[in-house]
Amino acid sequence: MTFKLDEGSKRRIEETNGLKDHVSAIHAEVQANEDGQDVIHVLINLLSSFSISDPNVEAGVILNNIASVVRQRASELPVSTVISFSREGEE
Amino acid sequence: MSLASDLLDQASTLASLDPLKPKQASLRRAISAAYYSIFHLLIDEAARRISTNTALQPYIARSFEHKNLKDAANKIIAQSSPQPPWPGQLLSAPIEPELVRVCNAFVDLQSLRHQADYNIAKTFKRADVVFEVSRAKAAHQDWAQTRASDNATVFLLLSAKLLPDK
Repeated sequence: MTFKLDEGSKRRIEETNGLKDHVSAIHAEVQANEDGQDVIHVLINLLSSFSISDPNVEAGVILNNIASVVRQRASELPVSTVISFSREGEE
Repeated sequence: MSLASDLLDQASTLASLDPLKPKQASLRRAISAAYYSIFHLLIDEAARRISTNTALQPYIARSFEHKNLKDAANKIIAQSSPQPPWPGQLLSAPIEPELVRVCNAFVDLQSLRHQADYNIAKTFKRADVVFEVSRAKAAHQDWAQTRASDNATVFLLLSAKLLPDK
């Protein structure tokens, strides 16, 4: 199942410091985790402009902020959430 | 250098190996090292808080369970919900964003670590691994800023199962 980023979510992401224009799409599907429990796996596609060659703190803070905002939105759902990131168009 | 710092450096090194054609083994180990860097960062801190006896601290750290830390992190994250769960009344509002970010990174990296170590059907891309190692690096920095807070103490006590499950 795939969800398009709705305007409310997009606005909340954009209103969080430094997050504007980083996210292009959010995909989600329910999978069983290692304990056999249902978990929503959220894959956040980042714009190709969000390009980093090596791990760094500044990018990490932005990504953890995005994860915080998206997970906050998912908190109303009855299953837990796992969030990961990918860059659009990445092979 | 602490084990947590060494693991974080190792994760960065592994994520940057063979940039044109990275080996899946390197990328998987990078994810695992990134997760364990946060895990050891937190349990080492908790062990030092529980006892100043340096001979005891490794044994205290050994008693921590991954699931308990994840459950504690999820409870911290959930404090922003309309009806904050236990132990909301023990926490000072608002929860420091640094602590919330640490908890988010921990929960996600724990799941990704399982996939990296056990799910050989999944292919990891270097750019995605760089993102996740970056999240671990940020979590280390955030923890340094928030570790002295009362809310961080509650998080560690929850992780150690030293607070009741309400």
